[in-house]
Amino acid sequence: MAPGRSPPRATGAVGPDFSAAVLDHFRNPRNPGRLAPAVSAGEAVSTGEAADAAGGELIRIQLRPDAQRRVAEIRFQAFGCPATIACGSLATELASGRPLAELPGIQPGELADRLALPPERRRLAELAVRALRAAGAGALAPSYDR
Amino acid sequence: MQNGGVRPIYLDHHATTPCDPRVVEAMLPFWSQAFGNPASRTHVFGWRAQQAVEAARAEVSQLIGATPREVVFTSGATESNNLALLGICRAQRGGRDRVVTCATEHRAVLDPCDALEKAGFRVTRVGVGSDGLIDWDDLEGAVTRETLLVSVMHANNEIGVIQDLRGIGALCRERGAVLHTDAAQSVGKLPVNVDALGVDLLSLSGHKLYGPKGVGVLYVRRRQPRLRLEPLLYGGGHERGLRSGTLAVPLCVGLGRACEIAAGEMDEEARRTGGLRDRLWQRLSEGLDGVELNGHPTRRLPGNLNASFRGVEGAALLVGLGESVAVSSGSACTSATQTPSHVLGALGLGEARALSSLRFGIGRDNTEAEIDRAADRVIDEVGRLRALSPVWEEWRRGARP
Repeated sequence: MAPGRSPPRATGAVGPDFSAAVLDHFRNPRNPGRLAPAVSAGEAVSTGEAADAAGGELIRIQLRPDAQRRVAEIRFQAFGCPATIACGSLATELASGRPLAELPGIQPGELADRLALPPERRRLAELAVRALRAAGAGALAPSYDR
Repeated sequence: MQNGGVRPIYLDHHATTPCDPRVVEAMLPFWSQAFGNPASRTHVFGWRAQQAVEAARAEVSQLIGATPREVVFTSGATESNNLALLGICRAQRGGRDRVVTCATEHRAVLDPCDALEKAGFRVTRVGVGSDGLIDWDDLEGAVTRETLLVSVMHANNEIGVIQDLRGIGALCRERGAVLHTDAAQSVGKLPVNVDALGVDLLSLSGHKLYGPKGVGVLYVRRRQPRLRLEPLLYGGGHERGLRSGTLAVPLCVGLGRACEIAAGEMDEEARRTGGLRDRLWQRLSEGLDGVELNGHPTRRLPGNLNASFRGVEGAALLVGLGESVAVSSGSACTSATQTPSHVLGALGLGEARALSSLRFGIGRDNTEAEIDRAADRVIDEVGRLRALSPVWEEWRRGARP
Protein backbone atom coordinates (compact mmCIF):
# COMPACT_ATOMS: atom_id res chain seq x y z
CA MET A 1 0.00 0.00 0.00
CA ALA A 2 1.34 3.44 -0.85
CA PRO A 3 2.30 5.44 2.21
CA GLY A 4 -0.29 7.91 3.38
CA ARG A 5 -3.12 6.33 1.43
CA SER A 6 -6.01 4.43 2.93
CA PRO A 7 -7.38 1.38 1.15
CA PRO A 8 -10.92 1.70 -0.17
CA ARG A 9 -13.29 1.34 2.71
CA ALA A 10 -16.13 -1.11 2.91
CA THR A 11 -19.19 0.52 4.38
CA GLY A 12 -21.17 -2.68 4.70
CA ALA A 13 -24.71 -1.31 4.42
CA VAL A 14 -26.90 -3.45 2.19
CA GLY A 15 -30.42 -4.47 3.23
CA PRO A 16 -32.36 -1.25 3.72
CA ASP A 17 -30.32 0.18 0.86
CA PHE A 18 -32.38 -1.56 -1.77
CA SER A 19 -35.77 -0.46 -3.05
CA ALA A 20 -38.83 -2.69 -2.84
CA ALA A 21 -38.62 -3.11 -6.63
CA VAL A 22 -35.02 -4.34 -6.43
CA LEU A 23 -35.86 -6.74 -3.63
CA ASP A 24 -38.87 -8.05 -5.56
CA HIS A 25 -36.75 -8.89 -8.63
CA PHE A 26 -33.94 -10.21 -6.44
CA ARG A 27 -36.24 -12.58 -4.56
CA ASN A 28 -38.43 -13.51 -7.55
CA PRO A 29 -36.18 -13.14 -10.58
CA ARG A 30 -38.00 -13.17 -13.93
CA ASN A 31 -36.62 -15.47 -16.62
CA PRO A 32 -33.63 -16.80 -14.66
CA GLY A 33 -31.12 -19.32 -15.99
CA ARG A 34 -30.01 -20.39 -19.45
CA LEU A 35 -31.78 -21.39 -22.63
CA ALA A 36 -31.32 -24.95 -23.80
CA PRO A 37 -28.97 -25.21 -26.78
CA ALA A 38 -30.64 -25.24 -30.16
CA VAL A 39 -31.66 -28.66 -31.43
CA SER A 40 -32.47 -27.43 -34.90
CA ALA A 41 -31.89 -24.46 -37.16
CA GLY A 42 -34.40 -21.76 -36.36
CA GLU A 43 -34.02 -22.37 -32.65
CA ALA A 44 -30.58 -20.83 -32.31
CA VAL A 45 -29.78 -18.85 -29.20
CA SER A 46 -28.03 -15.49 -29.14
CA THR A 47 -25.99 -14.63 -26.05
CA GLY A 48 -24.93 -11.18 -24.85
CA GLU A 49 -22.65 -10.49 -21.92
CA ALA A 50 -21.52 -7.37 -20.14
CA ALA A 51 -19.03 -7.18 -17.31
CA ASP A 52 -17.83 -4.38 -15.10
CA ALA A 53 -14.15 -5.07 -14.63
CA ALA A 54 -13.84 -2.65 -11.74
CA GLY A 55 -16.84 -3.88 -9.81
CA GLY A 56 -16.65 -7.55 -10.77
CA GLU A 57 -20.31 -7.73 -11.86
CA LEU A 58 -21.32 -9.84 -14.82
CA ILE A 59 -24.70 -10.08 -16.59
CA ARG A 60 -25.44 -12.62 -19.32
CA ILE A 61 -28.64 -12.52 -21.36
CA GLN A 62 -29.73 -15.17 -23.82
CA LEU A 63 -32.62 -14.90 -26.20
CA ARG A 64 -34.26 -16.90 -28.95
CA PRO A 65 -36.34 -15.01 -31.54
CA ASP A 66 -39.33 -16.41 -33.35
CA ALA A 67 -39.91 -16.31 -37.10
CA GLN A 68 -41.27 -12.75 -36.80
CA ARG A 69 -38.03 -11.68 -35.15
CA ARG A 70 -39.66 -11.14 -31.81
CA VAL A 71 -38.10 -12.24 -28.53
CA ALA A 72 -39.79 -15.60 -28.04
CA GLU A 73 -37.68 -16.77 -25.11
CA ILE A 74 -35.26 -14.94 -22.91
CA ARG A 75 -33.15 -15.81 -19.85
CA PHE A 76 -30.57 -14.05 -17.70
CA GLN A 77 -27.77 -14.88 -15.30
CA ALA A 78 -26.07 -12.32 -13.08
CA PHE A 79 -23.23 -12.13 -10.61
CA GLY A 80 -23.31 -9.15 -8.29
CA CYS A 81 -25.32 -7.47 -5.59
CA PRO A 82 -29.15 -7.63 -5.48
CA ALA A 83 -29.39 -4.58 -7.75
CA THR A 84 -27.29 -6.34 -10.41
CA ILE A 85 -29.60 -9.34 -10.31
CA ALA A 86 -32.67 -7.08 -10.40
CA CYS A 87 -31.32 -5.23 -13.47
CA GLY A 88 -30.81 -8.50 -15.33
CA SER A 89 -34.28 -9.66 -14.35
CA LEU A 90 -36.04 -6.45 -15.34
CA ALA A 91 -34.18 -6.25 -18.66
CA THR A 92 -35.54 -9.67 -19.64
CA GLU A 93 -39.03 -8.68 -18.52
CA LEU A 94 -38.97 -5.54 -20.66
CA ALA A 95 -37.57 -7.37 -23.70
CA SER A 96 -39.79 -10.41 -23.61
CA GLY A 97 -42.10 -10.58 -26.63
CA ARG A 98 -40.69 -7.38 -28.19
CA PRO A 99 -39.40 -7.17 -31.78
CA LEU A 100 -35.60 -7.45 -31.87
CA ALA A 101 -35.46 -4.12 -33.68
CA GLU A 102 -36.99 -2.41 -30.64
CA LEU A 103 -34.46 -3.72 -28.12
CA PRO A 104 -32.00 -0.83 -28.63
CA GLY A 105 -34.83 1.45 -27.52
CA ILE A 106 -34.76 0.02 -24.01
CA GLN A 107 -32.75 2.61 -22.11
CA PRO A 108 -30.70 2.21 -18.91
CA GLY A 109 -32.62 5.11 -17.41
CA GLU A 110 -35.88 3.20 -17.68
CA LEU A 111 -34.45 0.27 -15.68
CA ALA A 112 -32.80 2.55 -13.17
CA ASP A 113 -36.00 4.52 -12.63
CA ARG A 114 -38.23 1.45 -12.33
CA LEU A 115 -35.84 -0.05 -9.79
CA ALA A 116 -35.29 3.30 -8.02
CA LEU A 117 -31.52 2.83 -8.24
CA PRO A 118 -29.40 5.44 -6.49
CA PRO A 119 -26.85 7.29 -8.69
CA GLU A 120 -23.94 5.04 -7.72
CA ARG A 121 -25.82 1.94 -8.91
CA ARG A 122 -27.20 3.26 -12.20
CA ARG A 123 -24.13 1.77 -13.89
CA LEU A 124 -25.72 -1.65 -13.23
CA ALA A 125 -28.71 -0.73 -15.41
CA GLU A 126 -26.24 0.15 -18.17
CA LEU A 127 -24.61 -3.23 -17.72
CA ALA A 128 -27.93 -5.04 -18.18
CA VAL A 129 -28.82 -2.95 -21.23
CA ARG A 130 -25.41 -3.65 -22.78
CA ALA A 131 -25.92 -7.39 -22.33
CA LEU A 132 -29.44 -7.17 -23.76
CA ARG A 133 -28.34 -5.14 -26.79
CA ALA A 134 -25.47 -7.53 -27.45
CA ALA A 135 -27.87 -10.47 -27.40
CA GLY A 136 -30.33 -8.60 -29.64
CA ALA A 137 -27.63 -7.50 -32.07
CA GLY A 138 -26.30 -11.05 -32.25
CA ALA A 139 -29.73 -12.31 -33.25
CA LEU A 140 -30.01 -9.66 -35.98
CA ALA A 141 -26.50 -10.21 -37.35
CA PRO A 142 -26.24 -11.69 -40.88
CA SER A 143 -24.18 -14.59 -39.54
CA TYR A 144 -26.97 -15.53 -37.14
CA ASP A 145 -28.16 -18.97 -38.06
CA ARG A 146 -31.90 -18.76 -38.34
CA MET B 1 -40.38 -8.81 12.50
CA GLN B 2 -40.70 -10.61 9.15
CA ASN B 3 -39.70 -14.20 8.41
CA GLY B 4 -43.04 -15.52 9.57
CA GLY B 5 -42.52 -14.14 13.06
CA VAL B 6 -39.48 -16.37 13.66
CA ARG B 7 -36.68 -14.49 15.36
CA PRO B 8 -33.71 -14.13 13.00
CA ILE B 9 -30.58 -15.97 14.06
CA TYR B 10 -27.95 -13.50 15.19
CA LEU B 11 -24.50 -14.56 13.98
CA ASP B 12 -22.82 -11.16 13.92
CA HIS B 13 -21.22 -11.06 17.37
CA HIS B 14 -18.07 -9.34 16.05
CA ALA B 15 -20.19 -6.31 15.19
CA THR B 16 -21.81 -6.19 18.59
CA THR B 17 -23.12 -8.46 21.31
CA PRO B 18 -26.40 -8.25 23.18
CA CYS B 19 -26.10 -6.74 26.61
CA ASP B 20 -26.21 -9.63 29.09
CA PRO B 21 -29.35 -9.40 31.30
CA ARG B 22 -27.07 -9.61 34.36
CA VAL B 23 -25.24 -6.55 33.07
CA VAL B 24 -28.49 -4.66 32.51
CA GLU B 25 -29.56 -5.54 36.05
CA ALA B 26 -26.29 -4.24 37.49
CA MET B 27 -26.64 -0.96 35.62
CA LEU B 28 -30.27 -0.25 36.54
CA PRO B 29 -29.77 1.49 39.92
CA PHE B 30 -27.27 3.92 38.42
CA TRP B 31 -29.64 5.70 36.05
CA SER B 32 -32.05 7.41 38.41
CA GLN B 33 -31.46 6.17 41.95
CA ALA B 34 -27.70 6.19 42.43
CA PHE B 35 -27.30 8.93 39.85
CA GLY B 36 -24.45 10.82 41.51
CA ASN B 37 -21.40 12.19 39.76
CA PRO B 38 -18.32 10.28 40.88
CA ALA B 39 -16.40 13.57 40.81
CA SER B 40 -18.71 14.97 43.52
CA ARG B 41 -16.45 14.35 46.48
CA THR B 42 -18.56 16.21 49.07
CA HIS B 43 -21.68 14.03 49.45
CA VAL B 44 -22.95 10.52 49.57
CA PHE B 45 -24.39 10.58 46.03
CA GLY B 46 -20.95 11.18 44.63
CA TRP B 47 -19.30 8.69 46.99
CA ARG B 48 -21.63 5.91 45.96
CA ALA B 49 -21.09 6.57 42.27
CA GLN B 50 -17.33 6.69 42.80
CA GLN B 51 -17.41 3.39 44.70
CA ALA B 52 -19.35 1.76 41.87
CA VAL B 53 -16.96 3.07 39.23
CA GLU B 54 -13.92 1.92 41.22
CA ALA B 55 -15.42 -1.54 41.70
CA ALA B 56 -15.97 -1.70 37.95
CA ARG B 57 -12.42 -0.50 37.32
CA ALA B 58 -11.13 -3.32 39.54
CA GLU B 59 -13.14 -5.91 37.57
CA VAL B 60 -11.76 -4.67 34.26
CA SER B 61 -8.20 -4.61 35.57
CA GLN B 62 -8.50 -8.17 36.92
CA LEU B 63 -9.70 -9.51 33.59
CA ILE B 64 -6.58 -8.21 31.81
CA GLY B 65 -4.02 -8.59 34.60
CA ALA B 66 -3.59 -4.86 35.18
CA THR B 67 -3.85 -2.69 38.25
CA PRO B 68 -6.98 -0.53 38.64
CA ARG B 69 -5.05 2.72 38.27
CA GLU B 70 -3.94 1.61 34.79
CA VAL B 71 -7.56 1.47 33.58
CA VAL B 72 -8.86 4.61 31.82
CA PHE B 73 -12.57 4.63 30.95
CA THR B 74 -13.40 5.96 27.48
CA SER B 75 -16.41 5.96 25.16
CA GLY B 76 -15.28 2.80 23.37
CA ALA B 77 -12.44 1.13 21.52
CA THR B 78 -12.31 3.79 18.80
CA GLU B 79 -11.60 6.48 21.36
CA SER B 80 -9.17 4.19 23.18
CA ASN B 81 -7.26 3.55 19.96
CA ASN B 82 -7.14 7.26 19.15
CA LEU B 83 -6.00 8.13 22.67
CA ALA B 84 -3.31 5.46 22.57
CA LEU B 85 -1.87 6.32 19.16
CA LEU B 86 -2.27 10.08 19.11
CA GLY B 87 -1.59 10.36 22.84
CA ILE B 88 1.79 8.61 22.76
CA CYS B 89 2.94 10.39 19.61
CA ARG B 90 1.83 13.84 20.72
CA ALA B 91 3.62 13.42 24.04
CA GLN B 92 6.86 12.64 22.20
CA ARG B 93 9.24 15.57 21.91
CA GLY B 94 11.88 14.74 19.32
CA GLY B 95 13.69 11.43 19.07
CA ARG B 96 11.80 8.38 17.86
CA ASP B 97 9.35 9.17 15.07
CA ARG B 98 8.37 5.83 13.57
CA VAL B 99 5.03 4.10 13.97
CA VAL B 100 4.50 0.50 12.87
CA THR B 101 1.10 -1.08 12.39
CA CYS B 102 -0.48 -3.91 10.45
CA ALA B 103 -2.43 -3.80 7.18
CA THR B 104 -5.38 -5.70 8.67
CA GLU B 105 -6.02 -3.36 11.60
CA HIS B 106 -9.44 -1.84 12.21
CA ARG B 107 -10.04 1.58 10.68
CA ALA B 108 -9.97 2.95 14.22
CA VAL B 109 -6.22 2.26 14.17
CA LEU B 110 -5.44 2.83 10.49
CA ASP B 111 -7.14 6.23 10.35
CA PRO B 112 -5.28 7.66 13.38
CA CYS B 113 -2.08 6.31 11.76
CA ASP B 114 -2.94 8.25 8.61
CA ALA B 115 -3.40 11.36 10.76
CA LEU B 116 -0.01 10.76 12.42
CA GLU B 117 1.60 10.42 9.02
CA LYS B 118 0.17 13.79 8.00
CA ALA B 119 1.61 15.20 11.22
CA GLY B 120 5.10 14.07 10.19
CA PHE B 121 5.47 10.60 11.72
CA ARG B 122 6.82 7.84 9.52
CA VAL B 123 4.25 5.06 9.43
CA THR B 124 4.91 1.51 8.24
CA ARG B 125 1.97 -0.81 7.59
CA VAL B 126 3.28 -4.35 7.74
CA GLY B 127 1.50 -6.91 5.58
CA VAL B 128 0.13 -10.33 6.50
CA GLY B 129 0.44 -13.77 4.99
CA SER B 130 -2.50 -15.48 3.29
CA ASP B 131 -3.44 -16.89 6.72
CA GLY B 132 -3.76 -13.40 8.19
CA LEU B 133 -0.77 -13.66 10.53
CA ILE B 134 1.55 -10.67 10.44
CA ASP B 135 4.62 -11.07 8.24
CA TRP B 136 7.25 -11.62 10.91
CA ASP B 137 10.29 -10.82 8.77
CA ASP B 138 8.73 -7.54 7.63
CA LEU B 139 7.78 -6.70 11.21
CA GLU B 140 11.29 -7.39 12.49
CA GLY B 141 12.68 -5.19 9.76
CA ALA B 142 10.19 -2.41 10.42
CA VAL B 143 10.64 -2.13 14.21
CA THR B 144 13.91 -0.29 14.73
CA ARG B 145 15.54 1.85 17.40
CA GLU B 146 13.67 4.77 15.80
CA THR B 147 10.28 3.17 16.37
CA LEU B 148 8.21 4.94 18.98
CA LEU B 149 5.04 2.88 18.78
CA VAL B 150 3.86 -0.45 17.40
CA SER B 151 0.12 -1.10 17.14
CA VAL B 152 -1.01 -4.64 16.29
CA MET B 153 -4.48 -5.96 17.06
CA HIS B 154 -4.87 -9.06 19.19
CA ALA B 155 -7.68 -10.75 17.25
CA ASN B 156 -9.01 -9.56 13.91
CA ASN B 157 -12.62 -8.44 13.65
CA GLU B 158 -13.21 -10.01 10.23
CA ILE B 159 -11.19 -13.20 10.08
CA GLY B 160 -10.71 -13.71 13.83
CA VAL B 161 -6.99 -14.40 13.41
CA ILE B 162 -5.03 -14.11 16.65
CA GLN B 163 -1.63 -12.46 16.33
CA ASP B 164 1.42 -13.61 18.29
CA LEU B 165 1.38 -10.64 20.65
CA ARG B 166 3.78 -12.30 23.05
CA GLY B 167 6.43 -12.46 20.34
CA ILE B 168 5.65 -8.94 19.15
CA GLY B 169 5.82 -7.71 22.76
CA ALA B 170 9.29 -9.24 23.20
CA LEU B 171 10.47 -7.61 19.97
CA CYS B 172 9.15 -4.21 21.09
CA ARG B 173 10.84 -4.55 24.49
CA GLU B 174 14.14 -5.40 22.85
CA ARG B 175 13.95 -2.36 20.55
CA GLY B 176 12.49 0.04 23.12
CA ALA B 177 9.17 0.58 21.32
CA VAL B 178 5.79 0.99 22.99
CA LEU B 179 3.29 -1.75 22.07
CA HIS B 180 -0.40 -0.96 21.70
CA THR B 181 -3.00 -3.59 20.91
CA ASP B 182 -6.63 -3.23 19.89
CA ALA B 183 -8.08 -6.13 21.87
CA ALA B 184 -11.76 -5.26 21.32
CA GLN B 185 -12.47 -8.68 19.84
CA SER B 186 -10.39 -10.79 22.21
CA VAL B 187 -10.96 -9.48 25.74
CA GLY B 188 -13.60 -11.65 27.36
CA LYS B 189 -13.19 -14.32 24.66
CA LEU B 190 -9.55 -15.31 25.22
CA PRO B 191 -7.28 -15.05 28.26
CA VAL B 192 -5.56 -11.65 28.07
CA ASN B 193 -2.78 -10.65 30.44
CA VAL B 194 -0.99 -7.42 29.67
CA ASP B 195 2.23 -8.48 31.39
CA ALA B 196 2.36 -11.92 29.81
CA LEU B 197 1.75 -10.39 26.38
CA GLY B 198 4.19 -7.53 26.93
CA VAL B 199 1.56 -4.95 26.04
CA ASP B 200 1.88 -1.30 27.13
CA LEU B 201 -1.46 0.00 25.88
CA LEU B 202 -4.62 -2.05 25.28
CA SER B 203 -8.01 -0.98 23.94
CA LEU B 204 -11.21 -2.79 24.78
CA SER B 205 -14.89 -2.16 24.20
CA GLY B 206 -17.94 -2.81 26.38
CA HIS B 207 -20.37 -3.88 23.69
CA LYS B 208 -18.11 -6.55 22.24
CA LEU B 209 -18.21 -8.54 25.48
CA TYR B 210 -21.92 -8.44 26.34
CA GLY B 211 -21.63 -5.05 28.04
CA PRO B 212 -23.24 -1.75 27.05
CA LYS B 213 -22.42 0.35 24.00
CA GLY B 214 -20.72 3.70 24.56
CA VAL B 215 -18.05 2.60 27.00
CA GLY B 216 -14.56 1.21 26.63
CA VAL B 217 -11.21 1.21 28.30
CA LEU B 218 -7.66 2.10 27.49
CA TYR B 219 -5.16 0.22 29.62
CA VAL B 220 -2.11 2.43 30.13
CA ARG B 221 1.00 0.84 31.65
CA ARG B 222 2.16 2.66 34.76
CA ARG B 223 4.94 0.30 35.78
CA GLN B 224 8.16 -0.44 33.96
CA PRO B 225 7.90 1.81 32.11
CA ARG B 226 5.38 4.47 33.10
CA LEU B 227 3.95 5.80 29.85
CA ARG B 228 3.34 9.46 29.07
CA LEU B 229 0.32 10.31 26.94
CA GLU B 230 -1.12 13.59 25.77
CA PRO B 231 -4.89 13.53 26.35
CA LEU B 232 -7.37 14.06 23.51
CA LEU B 233 -9.89 15.82 25.77
CA TYR B 234 -9.18 18.55 28.29
CA GLY B 235 -11.54 19.89 30.93
CA GLY B 236 -11.60 18.62 34.47
CA GLY B 237 -8.69 16.21 34.59
CA HIS B 238 -10.80 13.09 35.06
CA GLU B 239 -9.18 9.67 34.72
CA ARG B 240 -5.79 10.92 35.94
CA GLY B 241 -5.89 13.69 33.41
CA LEU B 242 -6.06 11.30 30.46
CA ARG B 243 -9.76 11.57 29.69
CA SER B 244 -11.66 14.59 30.96
CA GLY B 245 -15.43 14.37 31.10
CA THR B 246 -17.96 13.08 33.62
CA LEU B 247 -17.84 9.30 33.72
CA ALA B 248 -20.84 7.41 32.34
CA VAL B 249 -21.42 5.62 35.63
CA PRO B 250 -24.10 3.11 34.51
CA LEU B 251 -21.99 2.16 31.49
CA CYS B 252 -18.81 1.77 33.56
CA VAL B 253 -20.73 -0.40 36.02
CA GLY B 254 -22.09 -2.46 33.14
CA LEU B 255 -18.64 -2.95 31.68
CA GLY B 256 -17.32 -4.01 35.08
CA ARG B 257 -20.08 -6.59 35.44
CA ALA B 258 -19.50 -7.82 31.87
CA CYS B 259 -15.81 -8.32 32.70
CA GLU B 260 -16.69 -10.17 35.90
CA ILE B 261 -19.03 -12.52 34.01
CA ALA B 262 -16.43 -13.06 31.27
CA ALA B 263 -13.75 -13.91 33.82
CA GLY B 264 -15.96 -16.64 35.26
CA GLU B 265 -17.42 -18.05 32.05
CA MET B 266 -14.86 -17.38 29.32
CA ASP B 267 -13.23 -20.83 29.20
CA GLU B 268 -16.49 -22.74 29.01
CA GLU B 269 -17.95 -20.23 26.56
CA ALA B 270 -14.92 -20.45 24.27
CA ARG B 271 -15.19 -24.22 24.26
CA ARG B 272 -18.90 -24.04 23.44
CA THR B 273 -18.76 -21.33 20.75
CA GLY B 274 -15.71 -23.03 19.22
CA GLY B 275 -17.72 -26.24 18.99
CA LEU B 276 -20.62 -24.43 17.34
CA ARG B 277 -18.26 -22.73 14.89
CA ASP B 278 -16.74 -26.10 13.93
CA ARG B 279 -20.22 -27.56 13.52
CA LEU B 280 -21.24 -24.69 11.23
CA TRP B 281 -18.08 -25.07 9.13
CA GLN B 282 -18.56 -28.81 8.87
CA ARG B 283 -22.16 -28.46 7.69
CA LEU B 284 -21.36 -25.74 5.17
CA SER B 285 -18.27 -27.42 3.75
CA GLU B 286 -20.05 -30.78 3.48
CA GLY B 287 -23.24 -29.28 2.10
CA LEU B 288 -21.67 -27.12 -0.61
CA ASP B 289 -18.85 -27.25 -3.16
CA GLY B 290 -16.63 -24.23 -3.63
CA VAL B 291 -16.54 -23.08 0.00
CA GLU B 292 -13.20 -21.82 1.30
CA LEU B 293 -12.09 -20.82 4.77
CA ASN B 294 -10.48 -17.38 5.05
CA GLY B 295 -7.79 -16.84 7.66
CA HIS B 296 -5.72 -19.23 9.75
CA PRO B 297 -7.56 -22.54 10.36
CA THR B 298 -6.83 -22.76 14.09
CA ARG B 299 -5.28 -19.50 15.34
CA ARG B 300 -8.58 -17.66 15.38
CA LEU B 301 -11.31 -16.56 17.77
CA PRO B 302 -13.46 -19.51 18.84
CA GLY B 303 -16.68 -17.90 17.56
CA ASN B 304 -15.32 -16.72 14.22
CA LEU B 305 -15.89 -18.25 10.81
CA ASN B 306 -15.07 -16.37 7.62
CA ALA B 307 -15.73 -18.25 4.42
CA SER B 308 -16.03 -17.57 0.70
CA PHE B 309 -18.81 -19.06 -1.37
CA ARG B 310 -17.60 -19.20 -4.95
CA GLY B 311 -19.85 -17.77 -7.61
CA VAL B 312 -22.00 -15.79 -5.19
CA GLU B 313 -21.55 -12.15 -4.30
CA GLY B 314 -21.42 -11.56 -0.55
CA ALA B 315 -23.85 -8.64 -0.50
CA ALA B 316 -26.43 -10.64 -2.47
CA LEU B 317 -26.05 -13.52 -0.05
CA LEU B 318 -26.45 -11.17 2.90
CA VAL B 319 -29.66 -9.69 1.57
CA GLY B 320 -30.95 -13.12 0.65
CA LEU B 321 -30.35 -14.28 4.20
CA GLY B 322 -31.22 -10.97 5.81
CA GLU B 323 -34.54 -11.83 7.36
CA SER B 324 -33.50 -15.19 8.76
CA VAL B 325 -29.77 -15.06 9.50
CA ALA B 326 -27.84 -11.95 10.52
CA VAL B 327 -24.25 -12.10 9.28
CA SER B 328 -21.94 -9.66 7.53
CA SER B 329 -19.84 -9.69 4.39
CA GLY B 330 -16.36 -8.61 3.49
CA SER B 331 -17.56 -6.42 0.69
CA ALA B 332 -19.72 -3.42 0.07
CA CYS B 333 -21.66 -2.45 -2.98
CA THR B 334 -22.79 0.92 -1.73
CA SER B 335 -19.73 2.59 -3.19
CA ALA B 336 -19.39 3.27 -6.91
CA THR B 337 -17.89 -0.17 -7.38
CA GLN B 338 -17.93 -3.18 -5.12
CA THR B 339 -14.80 -3.28 -3.04
CA PRO B 340 -13.48 -6.13 -0.96
CA SER B 341 -12.63 -5.19 2.61
CA HIS B 342 -9.06 -4.08 3.25
CA VAL B 343 -8.60 -7.14 5.49
CA LEU B 344 -9.50 -9.68 2.83
CA GLY B 345 -7.56 -7.59 0.31
CA ALA B 346 -4.46 -7.84 2.53
CA LEU B 347 -4.69 -11.65 2.56
CA GLY B 348 -4.21 -11.58 -1.23
CA LEU B 349 -7.18 -13.89 -1.80
CA GLY B 350 -8.10 -12.40 -5.15
CA GLU B 351 -11.07 -10.15 -5.65
CA ALA B 352 -13.59 -12.81 -6.68
CA ARG B 353 -13.01 -14.83 -3.52
CA ALA B 354 -12.96 -11.74 -1.32
CA LEU B 355 -16.25 -10.48 -2.76
CA SER B 356 -17.84 -13.87 -2.10
CA SER B 357 -17.11 -13.94 1.61
CA LEU B 358 -19.33 -13.99 4.67
CA ARG B 359 -18.36 -13.47 8.29
CA PHE B 360 -20.14 -15.51 10.93
CA GLY B 361 -19.71 -14.45 14.56
CA ILE B 362 -21.05 -16.99 17.03
CA GLY B 363 -21.81 -15.87 20.54
CA ARG B 364 -23.00 -16.65 24.03
CA ASP B 365 -26.69 -17.26 23.28
CA ASN B 366 -26.42 -19.26 20.07
CA THR B 367 -27.63 -22.85 20.14
CA GLU B 368 -26.90 -25.96 18.10
CA ALA B 369 -30.39 -25.78 16.62
CA GLU B 370 -29.74 -22.22 15.47
CA ILE B 371 -26.44 -23.19 13.89
CA ASP B 372 -28.13 -26.04 12.00
CA ARG B 373 -30.95 -23.79 10.85
CA ALA B 374 -28.49 -21.09 9.76
CA ALA B 375 -26.39 -23.64 7.85
CA ASP B 376 -29.49 -24.92 6.04
CA ARG B 377 -30.52 -21.37 5.09
CA VAL B 378 -27.04 -20.50 3.82
CA ILE B 379 -26.88 -23.71 1.76
CA ASP B 380 -30.32 -23.00 0.25
CA GLU B 381 -29.57 -19.37 -0.55
CA VAL B 382 -26.11 -20.11 -2.01
CA GLY B 383 -27.79 -22.73 -4.20
CA ARG B 384 -30.45 -20.27 -5.35
CA LEU B 385 -27.92 -17.56 -6.21
CA ARG B 386 -25.54 -20.00 -7.90
CA ALA B 387 -28.34 -21.12 -10.19
CA LEU B 388 -28.42 -17.47 -11.35
CA SER B 389 -24.67 -17.00 -11.45
CA PRO B 390 -22.62 -17.07 -14.66
CA VAL B 391 -19.50 -16.84 -12.49
CA TRP B 392 -20.31 -20.07 -10.64
CA GLU B 393 -20.80 -21.86 -13.93
CA GLU B 394 -17.40 -20.69 -15.14
CA TRP B 395 -15.69 -21.47 -11.84
CA ARG B 396 -17.01 -25.01 -11.92
CA ARG B 397 -15.72 -25.46 -15.45
CA GLY B 398 -12.33 -24.25 -14.24
CA ALA B 399 -12.60 -21.18 -16.44
CA ARG B 400 -12.15 -18.84 -13.45
CA PRO B 401 -9.38 -18.70 -10.89
